[in-house]
Amino acid sequence: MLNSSVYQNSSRFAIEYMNEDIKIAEKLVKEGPLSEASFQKIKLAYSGRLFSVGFEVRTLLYIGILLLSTGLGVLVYKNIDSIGHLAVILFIAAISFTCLGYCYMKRKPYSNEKVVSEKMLNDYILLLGCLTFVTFTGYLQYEYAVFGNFNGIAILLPAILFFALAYLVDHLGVLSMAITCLAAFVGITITPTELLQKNDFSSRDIIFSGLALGAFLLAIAAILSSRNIKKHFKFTYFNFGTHLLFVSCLAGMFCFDSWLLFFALLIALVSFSLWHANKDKSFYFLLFTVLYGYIGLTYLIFRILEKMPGSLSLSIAYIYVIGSSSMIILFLISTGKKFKKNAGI
Amino acid sequence: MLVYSKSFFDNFYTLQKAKEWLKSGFISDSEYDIIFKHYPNPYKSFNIFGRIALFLFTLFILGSGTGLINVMFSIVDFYRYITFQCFFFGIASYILAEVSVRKMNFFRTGIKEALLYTAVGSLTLGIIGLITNNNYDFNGDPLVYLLCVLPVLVFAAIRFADTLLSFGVFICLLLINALLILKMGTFGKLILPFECMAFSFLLYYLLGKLKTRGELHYWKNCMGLIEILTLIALYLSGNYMVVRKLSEALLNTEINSGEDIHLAIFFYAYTILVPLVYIWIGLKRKNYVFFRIGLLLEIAGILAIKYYHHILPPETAMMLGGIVVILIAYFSIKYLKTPKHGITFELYKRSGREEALANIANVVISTVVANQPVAPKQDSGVEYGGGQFGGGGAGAGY
Repeated sequence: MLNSSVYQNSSRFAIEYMNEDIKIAEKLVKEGPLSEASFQKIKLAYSGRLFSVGFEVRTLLYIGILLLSTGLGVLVYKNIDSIGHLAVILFIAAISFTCLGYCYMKRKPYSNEKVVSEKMLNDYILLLGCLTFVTFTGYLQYEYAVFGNFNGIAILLPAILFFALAYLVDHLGVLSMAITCLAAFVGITITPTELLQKNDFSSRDIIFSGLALGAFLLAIAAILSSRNIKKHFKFTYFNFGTHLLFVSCLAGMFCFDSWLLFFALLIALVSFSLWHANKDKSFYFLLFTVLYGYIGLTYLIFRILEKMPGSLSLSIAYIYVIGSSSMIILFLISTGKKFKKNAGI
Repeated sequence: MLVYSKSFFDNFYTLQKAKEWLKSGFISDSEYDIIFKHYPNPYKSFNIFGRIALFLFTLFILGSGTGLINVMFSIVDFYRYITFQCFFFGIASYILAEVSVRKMNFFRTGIKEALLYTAVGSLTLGIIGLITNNNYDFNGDPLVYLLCVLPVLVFAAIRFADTLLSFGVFICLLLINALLILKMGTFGKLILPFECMAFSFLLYYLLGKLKTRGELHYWKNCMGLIEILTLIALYLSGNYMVVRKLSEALLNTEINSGEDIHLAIFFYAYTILVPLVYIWIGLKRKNYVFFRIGLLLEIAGILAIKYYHHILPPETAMMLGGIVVILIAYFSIKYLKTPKHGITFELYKRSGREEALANIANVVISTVVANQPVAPKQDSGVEYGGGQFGGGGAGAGY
């Protein structure tokens, strides 16, 4: 699985200190811990290592595709009158369906476990197919209003397709795109065009739909992973869901008069998220939960301090910041040590 | 000279190497466990997220502490004595930084960095205050300010082996050099590009000499960073766009269309050819630094010249550029199907840290909400295979 002949020192800067590494290995062998066999493996890797330009070449390929497609897009856009919408739409649809069809046919059979695809090229094709599909539906709706007044359907279709695709082909990137499309759908549906034009965002609806969508994502993740269906998707769902929930909750706190209610909700969210972070031993979740909670708490305190006289409230504010920051630092350090294995990235 | 104890530092590097070798499969789990017990590493380190969070919170504490003390002493109008405050708080945070390393064994926590940078900043301001007699308008000679900053930066960078401060030191040296040359009047302005090239090359050469001295390996990250910076500076001194912009600014001339700066041809050639030389050296010496910097600078150079000479409309240029780049990539892959000259197309096994960073990039990119969600950046961590480009985190357990 590992190609030890292509080994690169992961420290980006200290590339010329291979001799140092060998010296360390020698010291380890002399003092006991390192076995002779491992030492030989290390020496072999260092001596026979090849210079890998793979990363750069792949990036060049990616940039090239990006340049080409952007240039093409702009060219088409500028000459749209002479080419005609129908021709463009058919062309985009053709690309999309070919790419997606190719990926669908080349996929490995479905399993509830993780499925790793073989060729790197498939990823590019999948990417191209998905992007063009979204362009296709959006263009269709914009130009011909195929879905009538329901603008949201133009983004719901890609969402459904991407969800299906993500599970069929086992691809986290497509899953992320699916969730993003879903969120966009929810956002677009609850914002009728008139409100957009009048610049009067009914923030209440957005916030509640954010909460609902976040909860929905978490629920799906819990149900699916408890049935052992693609457990590795759980992190993505939880990631999006938790962030969405927290942001909506904080937005509710900032915008509404009933901020106490939202603060109670925040406390509930923080507790749940801390429990989840502890269960999964994930420092990442712990960290941003603490940060969101801190933002909420600070907002509350400052709101209260606003109503107090000048210099006293300033001092209290300073003391609060010092106190709370110290507590957070101590908390992070201690739990960081508990999660030590994952904390040392 | 180094604030860290050398034996601890050595242990830290040993453990780091062992972890790498474990990930690459050279050593076994049991060997790693023995090494872990054998070389106690009391240093506290955190991952990049935690460090940023701790850094910010430490800054909050320092800022609030300063504010609080000011409020407490507001009767005496403490805020008038800025220079005194700078020194007071600068020395206080510096002492805290030293204590945190020596007594509490902090290494890569954000806390020590926050304390150190605050100390450096405050002390610098204090010195500036002393020299300019409490005049904080900053309209004096920039050379004076830079000379105030330099000793503090150098001391802190060396003592704490800090890469960010090394970056600052380098920028300082560069600017001081440029300003000194410019003091020579018009002659100075004319030779500025060439002098900067020579200066960067000199620094690179000196750095090369330093790197061969093994006892300085504690500072290898700093030296590596400065090496990269000298190469970039060497290029930028002769980059067409930089030279032209500086000429316009310094010589107060307007360059009309059809005209060009002195020795324009030399700078055009320099802009395009030098990165190619870097790439060549990189491939020849199997050195990633030269290779990657060469690639990036070549792109920068092409863009710089395009900025001034619009040969093609942008979309055609993009398409042609795209086709050229794809062809280069394609033929490289074809040519390197079997490794030649010790160069291969296969991917190396990335360390955990780079994988994590790539995943973060994916998460960020994949949350663009629009009618056109952008797919995450493609990067395979497994060798020569497709894989998941992980949006929303392909790695479990951060």
